[in-house]
Amino acid sequence: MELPLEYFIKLRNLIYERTGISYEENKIYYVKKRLQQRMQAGGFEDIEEYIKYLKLFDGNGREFQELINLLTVNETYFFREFNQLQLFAEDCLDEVVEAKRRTGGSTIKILCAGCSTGEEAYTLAIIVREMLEDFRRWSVLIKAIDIDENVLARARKGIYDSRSVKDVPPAYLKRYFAQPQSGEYVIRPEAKELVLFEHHNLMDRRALRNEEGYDFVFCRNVLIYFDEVSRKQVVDRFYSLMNPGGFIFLGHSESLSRISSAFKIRRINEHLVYQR
Amino acid sequence: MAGKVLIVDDSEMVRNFHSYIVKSLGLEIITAVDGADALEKIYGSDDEILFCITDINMPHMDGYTLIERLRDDPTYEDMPIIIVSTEDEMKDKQRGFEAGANLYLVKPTEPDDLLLNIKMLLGK
Amino acid sequence: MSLIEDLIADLSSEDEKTRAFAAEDIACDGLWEGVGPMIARLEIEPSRYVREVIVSSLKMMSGPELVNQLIPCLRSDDAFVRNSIIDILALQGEESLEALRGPLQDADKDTRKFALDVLVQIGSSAAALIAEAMADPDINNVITAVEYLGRLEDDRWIKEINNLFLRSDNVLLRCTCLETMALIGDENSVECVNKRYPSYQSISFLEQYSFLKFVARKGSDIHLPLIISLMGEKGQVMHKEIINAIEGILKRIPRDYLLPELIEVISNYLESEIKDINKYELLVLLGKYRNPEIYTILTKYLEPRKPLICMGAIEGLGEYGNPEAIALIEAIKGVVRDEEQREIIERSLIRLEKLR
Repeated sequence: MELPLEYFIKLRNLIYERTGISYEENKIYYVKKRLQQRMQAGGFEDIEEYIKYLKLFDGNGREFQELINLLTVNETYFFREFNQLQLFAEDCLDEVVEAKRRTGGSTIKILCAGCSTGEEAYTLAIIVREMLEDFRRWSVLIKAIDIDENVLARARKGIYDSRSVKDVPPAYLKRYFAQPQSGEYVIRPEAKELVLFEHHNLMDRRALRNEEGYDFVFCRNVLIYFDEVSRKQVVDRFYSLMNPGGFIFLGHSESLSRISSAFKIRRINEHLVYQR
Repeated sequence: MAGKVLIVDDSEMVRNFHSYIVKSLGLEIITAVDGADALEKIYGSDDEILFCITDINMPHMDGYTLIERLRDDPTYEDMPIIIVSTEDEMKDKQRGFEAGANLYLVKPTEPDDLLLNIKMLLGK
Repeated sequence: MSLIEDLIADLSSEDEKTRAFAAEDIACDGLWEGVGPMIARLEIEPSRYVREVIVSSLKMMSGPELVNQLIPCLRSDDAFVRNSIIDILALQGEESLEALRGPLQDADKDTRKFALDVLVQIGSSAAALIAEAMADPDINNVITAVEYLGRLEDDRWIKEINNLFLRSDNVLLRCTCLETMALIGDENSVECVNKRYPSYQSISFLEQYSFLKFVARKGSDIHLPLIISLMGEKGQVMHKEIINAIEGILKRIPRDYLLPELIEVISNYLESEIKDINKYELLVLLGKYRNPEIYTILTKYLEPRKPLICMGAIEGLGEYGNPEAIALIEAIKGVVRDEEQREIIERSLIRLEKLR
């Protein structure tokens, strides 16, 4: 199948406008392969026809969503998107903590939305423990939420395989994971006790209305599965439960600008961050 | 001249048109589809943004809000900004001035007029 | 107080969250009496967050009552309100069409423009109303109408657009016509373009870009000499448009061999400072043709250190069909890790093996 650059760019722009996800040019094969699948499934002969369909005839956005589902990678593991976590650990966390020290605050609250089997939540627990020198005087809560009871159950158990921990820095692997048998990694209490898993449906407007005081919200590679209207409602909800000066993190290829302008944009160490 | 020019408009046609005009000065451009996209491009750019040409009426974030947010940030309070908008009443120009724009031109711009204004703005 | 009265009162609460939740609840519970107060609040609300929640909430509602209350807001002095109203009205779809006839005839040209902005988002059922704006006294609205008909890919008014292109002395209008004609043009469009631009000197600088876009979709071999001349002058700055134009013409008229002048143009681009992705595209393109010199050009770009260019060369060689390339590609295969790229390499090798 032909994918002339011009059409790759058109498709890329369409995806960006509607979801905020962007694909770099070196992803052309990645996109092409999945595009081909959708086109075959729908009986589309050429890319021009397919894009026209997406733009003008895909009324309920179903085909578009199928394409997006195919394009987005669905895996989860510890320390995923390391650069962003580094930014959180070394800059954002520091800023929030310093501000709280000055005003006598002693709690840190993090929301991990769409937590799935818990890798991200535990990752954040490890980072916070490692980065706070005077850890004992802080009350840390990482609330990890998901709509799927099955994944929450697995998250609460905290047992993982070697694929999940492949990116964990060796020192942390030793410190925070027990290895009862080969290939099995169990998260230790030092990290586990910071995380509270709860069942919530982000689409429910009443969900999380009583939550407040969060310094950080992580919602990475989750919103891509929502439609435009729901995505906006969820982000607005996050805004309402955050402290001023709190940071919100989406997946590194997701753009908050397509969803909300209520947050303030900043550049820290060559990265873009959004702050309430 | 190192650095790039940011062109902000929700119409692809107008973005293209302004791009062609600016490119004729030998400058490189970045484009944005609205004010929110523009902020991301500015804050995300590793290159200096020499100046910005922006529309007013756009989805997600209008031009006035874009300019106000930029002026709130010491890093960008001096970035030259030209508004190019269909609205031509005094109150619109006044609003543009209050937001912090440097120049206000009415669409459709005469290419030579835009070029001249850019040159005057950059002082060359 | 009843629920709705409480919620309306909450819209003016001192607390941001209360105001936002009130708007959400009014919308989710479909409480019509809340629409007016929400719109009124939108004009004076200081918090961006709350403004956006009110707009999202209005978007969840629908019906003629909503439309009628929103139409006057197209004249608001507040840019955020105006632009949000455009989005909300567009979501109402055909419900809005009738109500927009008024604004489309408004004395204020900007109000007419905003109405067009709603129409284009509604889609093809609004095309006829958009087309009427080609007779608008304000040139911006004429330009907008032409642009939007192109966006909707609705060719019912191409005759009028062709005429506008021929008659107009406004550069932006001509450019817009050209780019719309690129999408929906007919044979007459090509005639009009050839008539207006008998030679490449008659195409003003700004129109060159739009002309190239037109040619990419609707041009033919007769336009090639013009493109090659343009390449001579503006090769770097217009490279994207020139490459697309060449590709477009070649695609529509199959042939086995490229003109030597075209191979030269492409070689020059491959040696120039254009982006790797454009070079990739050119290499893939070259592979489709049989000129003997193409083989040499393609093998020259088998550089693993430039992955995208290298992949273009490999794809091109696979298509070109000279089995001598197999050994060269095998050598590259050893150093490539990326799964998708390895697939492409395999495919090219299989193709070439069959021809051995």
